[in-house]
Amino acid sequence: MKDQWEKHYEQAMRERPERKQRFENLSWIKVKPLYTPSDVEGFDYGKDLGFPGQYPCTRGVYTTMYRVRPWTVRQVIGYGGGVESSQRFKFMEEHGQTGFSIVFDHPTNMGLDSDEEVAEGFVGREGTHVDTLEDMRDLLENVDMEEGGINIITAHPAILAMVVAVADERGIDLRNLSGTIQNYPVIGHTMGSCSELYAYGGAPHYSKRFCIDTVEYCARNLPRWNSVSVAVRNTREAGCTAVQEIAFGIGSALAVIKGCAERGIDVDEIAPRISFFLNSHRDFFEEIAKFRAMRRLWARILREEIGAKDPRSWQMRFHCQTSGDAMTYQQPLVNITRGTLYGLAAVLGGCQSLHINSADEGLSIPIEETAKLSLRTHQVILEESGVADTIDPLAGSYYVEWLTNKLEDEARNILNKIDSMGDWWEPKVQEWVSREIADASYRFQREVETGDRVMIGVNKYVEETKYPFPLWREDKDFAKKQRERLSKVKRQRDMKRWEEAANNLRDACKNGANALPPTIDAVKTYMTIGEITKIYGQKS
Amino acid sequence: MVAKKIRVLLAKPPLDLHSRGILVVATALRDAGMEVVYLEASPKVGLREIVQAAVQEDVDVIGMSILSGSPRIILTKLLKIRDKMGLKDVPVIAGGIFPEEEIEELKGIGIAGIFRPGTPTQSIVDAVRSLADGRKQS
Repeated sequence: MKDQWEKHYEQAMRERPERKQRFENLSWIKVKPLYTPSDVEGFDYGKDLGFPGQYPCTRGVYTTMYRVRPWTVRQVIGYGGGVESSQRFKFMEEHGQTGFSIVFDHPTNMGLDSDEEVAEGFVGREGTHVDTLEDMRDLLENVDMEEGGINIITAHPAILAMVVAVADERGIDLRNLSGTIQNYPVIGHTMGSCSELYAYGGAPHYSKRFCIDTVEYCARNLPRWNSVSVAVRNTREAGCTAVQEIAFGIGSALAVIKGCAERGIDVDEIAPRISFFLNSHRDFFEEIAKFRAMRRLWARILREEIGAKDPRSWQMRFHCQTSGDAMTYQQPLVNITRGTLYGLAAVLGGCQSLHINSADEGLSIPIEETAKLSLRTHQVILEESGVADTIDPLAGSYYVEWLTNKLEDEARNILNKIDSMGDWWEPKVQEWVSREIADASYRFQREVETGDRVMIGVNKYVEETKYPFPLWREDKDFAKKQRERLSKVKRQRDMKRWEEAANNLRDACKNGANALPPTIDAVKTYMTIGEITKIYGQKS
Repeated sequence: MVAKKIRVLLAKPPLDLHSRGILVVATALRDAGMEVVYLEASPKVGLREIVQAAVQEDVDVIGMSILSGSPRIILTKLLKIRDKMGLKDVPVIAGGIFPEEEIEELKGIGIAGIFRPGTPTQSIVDAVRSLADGRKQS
């Protein structure tokens, strides 16, 4: 019967050709006109899907999913300093945001104070700036540190140390402190991450040391804190494919587990606290299949290859931020439509928490009005569309299951290749990954330029449009205000306590002790992020 | 006689990490037969170091990619350093998300080309070639 249908199809094509020469998804996997049972031969419900919350977690990591607890509405916030960002958070919370996520500016992530010359033009622009504990206190003013969960997008241990210090001031039991630090171990620009700590050498062993220090400290002191967020979402923004997103994400997460094993930390002590940060891009079904395939591959590797015993170690929980690079600078309002589709794919893929980019994504940081529209998009998906009323509704679709299998297989091939090349932390592996990303990015760009890939408003339906909203513009005096603030804090602090804390931190860094406890003591003396970073960078 | 290849320095200001665009442009210029020197963003490579590299590499054009930092602050400072180091005849072009209201100002201070999102790489190749040729003739 299928053969006969295929003949009909070919005949119809002779009369009128298909509307495109090639049908390929964003991983350049060929998509057929129709999928049937023969594409998922040998499909075994128990082995391939199972039930939600159960191995291999294809259908979701929790038993009840959105029937009981919807995804966390977690729009990222960050500009200016603690005071400014905290005001935006309050606004968002009033309109339905349910989780806090804060992005820091590049100077903060690199461990540079606002008064460093090299930071000029970057302070508080693309994230919030933090020099000292005082800024963190302002930032967290409107935040419940136990319930909503605080996501801090940084790899800098001093930022986590400041969060812990604020929790101590509020008398919060650290065992109840809930949140995530990105702490993603990537080297240099390789993976498009903003979380690299260049200033202290940029050498992989430094990155690895502080990454694992953070994981170890969290595992032993902050049981409700996620110590690594595998931020492969940013790698995707740098131009890799969906298949590469799965492989590089899992590859880097396994490197953290291995790094912990070298220090005698058991996989079941840390894997339940590793979360993932994924993209949701323009190919709807490819994205849904990606989330499902990645969840299954993680479960299989963790249980069957790493030998994790705790079921929570197998459960790949993830936050999703919809693609920014698929959104356009041209005709910004169309981005609202795109955001809806990308957000819908993330929900159908079973995300735990979600950020939907705003109309002005291609132009600036969102203003209040467009950020609120993103919240409304979440609310339409959850409360009007009905898609969240049953779990993993696309399971059993021939196409979705075929694609889930295909993406899992291809990602596994890349992981095998990485294994055969060497250790994830080695420069040659990083260079290879880096080249793969750049190649994919260039290939996509060529296709946009030839018109093979349509981008509405860029290479098709091009027109000048008037955008009805104002754009976000930074406070041009902010950097100066922040420098004055920093200098005031420096004048007022107790330098005797500061000296003592600096000595202890220096000793810990030299003798290989975990850097977190002395960093927490240091931030309490108002030691700046720049001062702490310099101590981290001193070679023993 | 084989014409000397056009040499371009592509760089990002010190903390400007988003490199996808500049890598695409670098590849496109290389594919168009130019020699590209690429300096990735690093706190160790300040604006002075970028201009120094332009001197050492004897480039025809400097291309700056700015996505995170303030284009106004960074490009004003870069041009000052360039002029001080005697490279006034080396044109500077820039790419990134630049606020509409700053475009005229940037052109006014002497930025020779501004390329915003959605620009086909061929337009950048053409602009670089014409700037480099113009420089040789003058």
